[in-house]
Amino acid sequence: MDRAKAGRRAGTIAVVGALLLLWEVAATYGKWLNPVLFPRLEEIFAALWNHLPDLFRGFLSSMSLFVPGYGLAVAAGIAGGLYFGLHPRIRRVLMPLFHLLSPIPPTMYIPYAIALLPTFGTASVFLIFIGAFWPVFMNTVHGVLFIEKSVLDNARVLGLRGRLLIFKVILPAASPYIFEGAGVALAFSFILLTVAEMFGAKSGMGYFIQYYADFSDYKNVLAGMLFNGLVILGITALFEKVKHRLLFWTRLRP
Amino acid sequence: MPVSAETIRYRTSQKSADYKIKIKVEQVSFEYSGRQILRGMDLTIAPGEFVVLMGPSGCGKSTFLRLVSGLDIPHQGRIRIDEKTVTGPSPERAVVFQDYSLFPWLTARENIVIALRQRFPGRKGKELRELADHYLELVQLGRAGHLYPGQLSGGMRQRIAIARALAVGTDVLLMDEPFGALDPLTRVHLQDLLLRIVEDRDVTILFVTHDVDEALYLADRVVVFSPGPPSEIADVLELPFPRPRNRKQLAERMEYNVLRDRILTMMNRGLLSKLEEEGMFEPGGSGI
Repeated sequence: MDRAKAGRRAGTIAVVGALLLLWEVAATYGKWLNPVLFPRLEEIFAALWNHLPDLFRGFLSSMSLFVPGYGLAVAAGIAGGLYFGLHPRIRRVLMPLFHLLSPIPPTMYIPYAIALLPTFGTASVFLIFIGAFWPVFMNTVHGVLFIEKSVLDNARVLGLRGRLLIFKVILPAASPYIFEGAGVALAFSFILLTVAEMFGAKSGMGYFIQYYADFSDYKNVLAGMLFNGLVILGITALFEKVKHRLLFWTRLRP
Repeated sequence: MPVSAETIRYRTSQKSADYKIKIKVEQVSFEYSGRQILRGMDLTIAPGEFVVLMGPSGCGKSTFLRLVSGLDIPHQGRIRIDEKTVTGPSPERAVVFQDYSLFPWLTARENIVIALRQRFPGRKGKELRELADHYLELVQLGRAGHLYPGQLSGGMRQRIAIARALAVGTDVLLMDEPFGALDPLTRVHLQDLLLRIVEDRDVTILFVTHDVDEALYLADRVVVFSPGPPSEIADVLELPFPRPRNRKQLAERMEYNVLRDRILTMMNRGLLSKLEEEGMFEPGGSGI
């Protein structure tokens, strides 16, 4: 088992190493590559190192948009999803509307977000919120609807009501679907965050990339992309860890 | 209004009469998507009685249990428990299903605590956890409180479900093939455990099973359903065996084998008539 895992890891490292080497060789000796667009590795890493304080400030700025946007979307998506999942009459009335609104690409809200909201920050948070809300909301509704009858029978037999029913039965039972929605929402959020920052911000990880792209300083652009990639990887890994932890019971079924 | 001696006598006599009836099923019929499943069921169960329901599969035994629990409501007739008509599920009646009574995301202890918390709001969490542990010990699972249902065997899960049922203090226990998914050894062990636990408690039990020997070992009375649909009560057998029972001695008794044959004959008759109805046997044969 461990040996196989070590083998896979060695394979990954080998492939990444080969790709880096290929880049380095191509950037150094490949006369057909534009050296401005394809700087050598040491330049990229030097740029990354030199701009770390900058990038870190950009990270904090990005988080000040991402955390409220995504956080509010998850909270509202779960709360709304539970409500409509548990109230069939009002759900049947409004579901066609939700089906109409949810597939609209969130970027289409950009003109309205800019026109209606006072600042760039609020517009960005709104955009991230819209993008992240629908997947969480729709998945929560479905998660509640797909709860097995036996689970509900048990809850009814025990006379569970109110908070106990919601938090100890409905929410955990629907949680595999909710996490699925929250994962999609996470990916959407990062795309929307970067889009918002590249076109309107004065700070942030997306802004950093756009700023140096305007000067055709591609070693910094690549350093920014690398940093951005690592941040997204880190947050996604954290998300997966929480998901793995909370859904551990789904892997216990004999 | 003056209370005369006669009204008093009337009241007391009625009260003592009620006392002997725990569950009263009156002319109950049930339909499912336009098809009649149960028809004209009548059954009276005394407090503390252990009644086993048997019948060929698909005869509506589980449906009957769901009606008593209040999970489903009869289309005709009514079910009364302690004189009150059943209109929905209630924690006063505990149900143990075949293998899905527990919430897989809660530990054994939490599965009991959640039921206690609903039943006794305002009590402290610590108190409820201790109570849960007490009942886990009763089913010999005192050390499994922190484990999740997925980490436990089928037999352990059923024991937890029984512990939960008893912990909430119900006096009516409805069991739908609770040992049906277990291996024979575990099954025998749990039968003994169940009898030992309910022996000194005033619990009325309705128990569905396919297993004739299980029925004869556990029951005071065995109710046999006719093959449905629609099913009716085909027979009610009073078991003459004193308690505590000994499995081995029981099997050696004449009556045991007579009753066993009688039940099996009824079950098989149901099975055969069902197969014929579905066209699996074609007497005379229409040729291939």
